[in-house]
Amino acid sequence: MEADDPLWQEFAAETAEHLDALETGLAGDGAVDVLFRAMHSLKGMSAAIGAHGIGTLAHKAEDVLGLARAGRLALGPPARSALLAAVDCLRGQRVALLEHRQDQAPPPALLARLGALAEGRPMAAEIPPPSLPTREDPLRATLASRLADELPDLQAAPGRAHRLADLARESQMWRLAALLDGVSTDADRPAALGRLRRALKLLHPKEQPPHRFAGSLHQEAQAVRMALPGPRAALGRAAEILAACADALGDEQAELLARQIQDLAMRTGEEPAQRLAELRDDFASALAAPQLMPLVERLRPAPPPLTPGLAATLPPSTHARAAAAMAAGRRIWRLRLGPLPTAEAIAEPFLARAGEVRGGAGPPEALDIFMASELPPEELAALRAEADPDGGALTDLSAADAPPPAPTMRVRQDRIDAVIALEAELRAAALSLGDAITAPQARAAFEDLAALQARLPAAAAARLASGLERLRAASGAAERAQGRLSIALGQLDEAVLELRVMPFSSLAMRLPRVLRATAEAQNKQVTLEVRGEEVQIDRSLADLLADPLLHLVRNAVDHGIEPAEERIAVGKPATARLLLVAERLPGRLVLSFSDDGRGIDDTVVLARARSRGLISAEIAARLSREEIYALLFLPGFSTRDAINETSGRGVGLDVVQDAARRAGGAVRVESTLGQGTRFILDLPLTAAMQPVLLVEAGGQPYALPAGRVEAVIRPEQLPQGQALTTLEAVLHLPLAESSAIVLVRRPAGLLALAVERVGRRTDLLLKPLHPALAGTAGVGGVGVLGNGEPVLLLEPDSLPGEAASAGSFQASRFPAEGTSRP
Amino acid sequence: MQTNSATPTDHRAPPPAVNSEAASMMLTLTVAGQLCAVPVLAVRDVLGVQVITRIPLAPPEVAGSLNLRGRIVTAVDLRSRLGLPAREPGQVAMSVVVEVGGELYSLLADQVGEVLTLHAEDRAPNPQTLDPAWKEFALGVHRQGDQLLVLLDVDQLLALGV
Repeated sequence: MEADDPLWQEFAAETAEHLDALETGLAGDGAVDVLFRAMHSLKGMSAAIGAHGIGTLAHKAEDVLGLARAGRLALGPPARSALLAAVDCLRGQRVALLEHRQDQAPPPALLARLGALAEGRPMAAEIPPPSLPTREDPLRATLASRLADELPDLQAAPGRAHRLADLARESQMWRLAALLDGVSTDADRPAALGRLRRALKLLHPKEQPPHRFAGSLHQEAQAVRMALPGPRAALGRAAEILAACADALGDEQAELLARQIQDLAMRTGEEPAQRLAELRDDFASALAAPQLMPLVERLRPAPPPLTPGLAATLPPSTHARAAAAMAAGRRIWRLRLGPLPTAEAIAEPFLARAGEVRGGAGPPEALDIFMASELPPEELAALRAEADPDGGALTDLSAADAPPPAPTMRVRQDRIDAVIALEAELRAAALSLGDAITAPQARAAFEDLAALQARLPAAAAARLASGLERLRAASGAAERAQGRLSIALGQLDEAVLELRVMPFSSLAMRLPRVLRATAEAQNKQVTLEVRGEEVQIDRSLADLLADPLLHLVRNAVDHGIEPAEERIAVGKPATARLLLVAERLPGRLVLSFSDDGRGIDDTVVLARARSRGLISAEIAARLSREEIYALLFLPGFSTRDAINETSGRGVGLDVVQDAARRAGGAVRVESTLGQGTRFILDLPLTAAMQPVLLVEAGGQPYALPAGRVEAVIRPEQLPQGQALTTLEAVLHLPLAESSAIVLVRRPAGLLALAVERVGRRTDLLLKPLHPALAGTAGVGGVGVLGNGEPVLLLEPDSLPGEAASAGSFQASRFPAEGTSRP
Repeated sequence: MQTNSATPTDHRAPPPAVNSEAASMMLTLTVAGQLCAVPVLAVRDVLGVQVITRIPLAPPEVAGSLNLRGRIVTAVDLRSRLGLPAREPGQVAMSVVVEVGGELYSLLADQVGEVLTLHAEDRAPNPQTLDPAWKEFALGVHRQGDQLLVLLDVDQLLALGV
């Protein structure tokens, strides 16, 4: 652990507390509020430190708890066991992060399980909750009945808990076993009994509550009272003990009081600390009372007064009701109705599900309805889209109580570019630092010195040993610091990525003009619909996509869309429809561009490819549909004879494919003859970073896009009949001995590329290459390695010379390993 | 790569109101034994031996790319650009980083010399005896003692086959 870093120390300490609070709360009957806040704090802390794995899982779990808090999900056994599984996983992730600086991703199955809970899908049948006993298990049934029998005796004879704990272990109920062990070993027996009783209540929720133990809470309540003015952590522990003891007695009111204190004591941040300070006297007197009762009413945060902005927006008659709604934790939303006669009819079902109407204002053609809702914004947006898909009736939905937007600044684009360039430089420096720190030579040197130590005289050996110790400590510290640096860089990466995003609309807005010009020139009627205009895309991608999108529009009008009379003749509307959809998926941006035109005719494509000399007759006969579509993207392919003023000459769909590849993505085509064509561009979120496989040829490293590498094999594993070429031959470098073959996927089939050496997989930060060089065949771009060395990214599809070499380099000519090539 | 109406470097206007003194300062280089010079105002950096990543299949005068503090710089070997014989194995090249049209280039020279002030009025047109390899890229010559200094036309040198 990092002893010197307050941030990590705080993270280590607080996450442990939150996880403990969650575990005890989930195993027992912890207040949902407490659980939610603990999970929320956990999420916040992991975000602050850049631990995305923990953050992702905590976020999902928080969703579930949020629903439970809103009363929309019962925190029954399935939910609890899923959440406990999440807590267990979070503990593991936390340890990995603290001890190894590893940000582990949570298991997808667990995320899915939590996601299903949040969406209200039944899960019990799909994944058996691991921590719950199944009634069919005879061992567990025995345990259950013995526990019920012997529980009352445990108070007087705690030694018996040992045997029960063993039995629990045999039934693989570790949590229960640990709790039973606690009864015999824990100094605070009543609390241990209380934790056990809570767990049993959870295990058998439908049965009679377990035996209530006898006793008094006086001592524990007194302890909490004494702890009230002290440090919050100590107070939290005392309150937990009181809550557990209250549970042992079955005193729910007392437990609630203890949980309230525990909640405020264990939550981080200013607000709970302040609340605790305000309520300290009330808690003290409640704890001194003969009957412990929670401070239910007093604990609610004071109703926030209407903000001046909101008060001005809302009609005065609604002020009181709006304030009450806000006091109850709901938000005020403003729904603007469009000037449609049906608007109100459309709004009604939406309002019924979304919230409560608090009032209305404005003229009838733009009526504002104010409603109070507890639903999160995304859910409201989804409901709105469902109620009014066209957006004509419910024209706007915005938070009426939203704080004024954060002040924005206009920054010149080149300033942002400079920041981005610096970030890239910093990242390259950090990468090379990481490479330097983990360099194998340093480890080897340590081993050499350690070996030397054994052969030195004792006095010298001792001095060497202490020197080595200090060196190791220093290099360990450097490694940990580097780990922190890379986490911080990850955060910086994200922040910078946000700096350079722009909405898709700014890319799409150029299209209608081009469409109109193109369509008018050809006397075609075409409309374009763009969806996903709000999707944020990286500027590096936007720069790459600007021209290809224009080209797709022109291409659709030129080749896809039929003249109006032809459309009418086949029963289509005279006006053709283009649809461009941008969709942000996890880690990817998918653009799909479709038309409802004539579709792609394979025979026309094949005939054109043959007349252009792109393929031979025998090959043409063997091609699959996908391979035929791939022909469309070949440079020099154009299915139109007449050169027209819009599509111009010599520019084909290859620009689209070229752009997709430069961005590290791919383009594919779907088409149905007579019904239309769809181009799908599947792109990474940024064009600036690409995962690659490094290979070596002629002593220099080259990078192949990792997504295109099918496999790396040894020369003798080359499949029969697979043509082989060497990277050196392709790049016109002097031949060298090859040690491995990289199988690269290409539209035209696999390319077997023999290389001198296969290096590691890494992320390559791509840089703009000089325009004069960007078009060089086989070059996909240039990137910077960790050591700052530029490396060329190869573009497999445009690697030249393969057509000629595919036949001439046969597998038999491949040199066997160990033999050298002249 | 893409035609972009507003390249990020558009704002980088030529330095305004350059005094004639600065404009006549030249950095001298030696290429294959010939003394030559480039305007100091275009020079951004002078670097020693650099790791240069070759770009196979690129025009021969392009020696490759190098990483100048995070920016990728195209390296142009003056020897191959001028059609002169390649450096002897083991002979190192110096990088003179120049900026032209918002792009950075590294000119590989055999040696980098000093900065001289060369006034335009002292410049002579290319003599008949100048090696034809140099003529295409020479703006004129200056006499330096018993040596002839060729003033290089940087724009012409960097007009790579686009």
